[in-house]
Amino acid sequence: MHVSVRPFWLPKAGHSKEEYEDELSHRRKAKLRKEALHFAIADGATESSFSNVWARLLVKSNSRAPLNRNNVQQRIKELGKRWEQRTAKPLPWYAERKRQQGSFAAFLGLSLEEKGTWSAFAVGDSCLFQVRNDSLMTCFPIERSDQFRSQQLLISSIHWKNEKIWERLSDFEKSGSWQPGDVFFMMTDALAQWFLSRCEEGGTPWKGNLFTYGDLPLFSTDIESMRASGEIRNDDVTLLIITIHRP
Amino acid sequence: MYTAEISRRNPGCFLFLIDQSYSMSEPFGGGSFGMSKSQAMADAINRLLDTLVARCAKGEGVMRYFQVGVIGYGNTVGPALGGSLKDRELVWIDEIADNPLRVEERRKKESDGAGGLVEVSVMFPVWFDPVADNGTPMCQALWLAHTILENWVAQHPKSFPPVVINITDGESTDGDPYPASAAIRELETEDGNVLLLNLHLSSCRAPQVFFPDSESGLAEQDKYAPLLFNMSSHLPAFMRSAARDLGYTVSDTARGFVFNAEIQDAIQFLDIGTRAANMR
Repeated sequence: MHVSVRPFWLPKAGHSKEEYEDELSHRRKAKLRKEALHFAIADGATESSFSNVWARLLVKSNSRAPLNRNNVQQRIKELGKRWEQRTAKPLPWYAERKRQQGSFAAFLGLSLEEKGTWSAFAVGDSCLFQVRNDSLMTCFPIERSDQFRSQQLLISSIHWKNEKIWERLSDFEKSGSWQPGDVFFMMTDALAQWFLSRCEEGGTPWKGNLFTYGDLPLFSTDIESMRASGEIRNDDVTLLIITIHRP
Repeated sequence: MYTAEISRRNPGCFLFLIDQSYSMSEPFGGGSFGMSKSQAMADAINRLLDTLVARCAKGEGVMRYFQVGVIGYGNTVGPALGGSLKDRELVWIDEIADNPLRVEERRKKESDGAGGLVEVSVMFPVWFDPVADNGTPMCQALWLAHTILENWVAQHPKSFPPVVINITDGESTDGDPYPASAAIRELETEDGNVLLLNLHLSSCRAPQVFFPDSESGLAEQDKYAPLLFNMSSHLPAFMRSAARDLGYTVSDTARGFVFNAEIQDAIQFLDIGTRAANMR
């Protein structure tokens, strides 16, 4: 089964590419064979320091082997140590103090298996949407646009700060089945909130131009005008569109 | 209104007006707190500046989200930060971060993770030292704030409007401060009028009043309290919400005024007044 992937990303307005704090991992084109395909996005928290380093570590690690409820505690412990090593450097007092508070990120991983199933692991407010025959089949982990809050549970680079996540790991996992023709959308919170709002109004946002573009500049122009008109919040935007083609 | 993002493109501005008159050398409300009001307020302002720096620290630097000014009024009226920030009316938050007067080591108790407390040493940066001398030229301070902010709003028409926090323990000694306060509140950006909040510090054992919505009963407490109430802006929704989160009863028409505050109330008031609704 052929799978194609279209990635889109844009830093928040007023920020440079270097300051973009989301991260994504994917393969452009792939065939679903015995080995599952893994995709991930992560959204580093604006309020913490070195969030881009943390977001990158999370998605790169997931691309080697997916994070799930069984391995996440051990994996985060190891990744936290690597974040610590990568960010340890001589810093001014305020930067070092902030670094010691750790980094935080929302994370969403998706695995597609050849046998027609998928599984996802998500902490925070990055969202997965599954569309089949123009119907929205799945919203995960957030199901309503009013559930986006500024205080989300996020994965911290400091292991003990994740206690609340470890307490309810089963809430962060979901699985389902796919059919040829299905499209999966993985997106960070600002765009996901807009997407869900449109769905709640009876719309089919996935049919709009934004999700049919093949290249980044057109996508970026649309996002910029949506930000300017206040339709979406000014935040880093990351989107992966994964299409499972019919044979 | 009061929804503009605070970012480097659209920075915010906080201006603190600090009463440095002689009476600030007296202890809080009847001496229930050992430290003088001026020392306690200097600590509170230093803690607040530290919090703002921490909020804006990102990676290896500090993002220019805010400009900050501290104006003292007592023996003289003017910028009150010291060292390399001396004589500057407004400074960027990264300049604050890089230029404390000194960094003191203080002790504080923290949980030891096993149900007990352990004393640890913490860094306490100091930008502002206490001063308490002479009268209370509040009008002059308010007009200086007006001049500073008139320029600021002209330069930042799209920004979240500046927040002015006036901290005093008494009456103005250079006339009626109301006209100057009204002129400040009339300044505006496209996102709303400048917010003027007044923090009256406790000088006696009188009932405290938090974020009132009318001046009724205030005159019986202190003849100057109704004036400070009327000088204060209505709290915007996000500040009302922040005050409610901290346990205060706040109506939808509450003003940014606290009468007879003790030090812990003063710290919370500063926290509410400097919350950034929409930092990006």
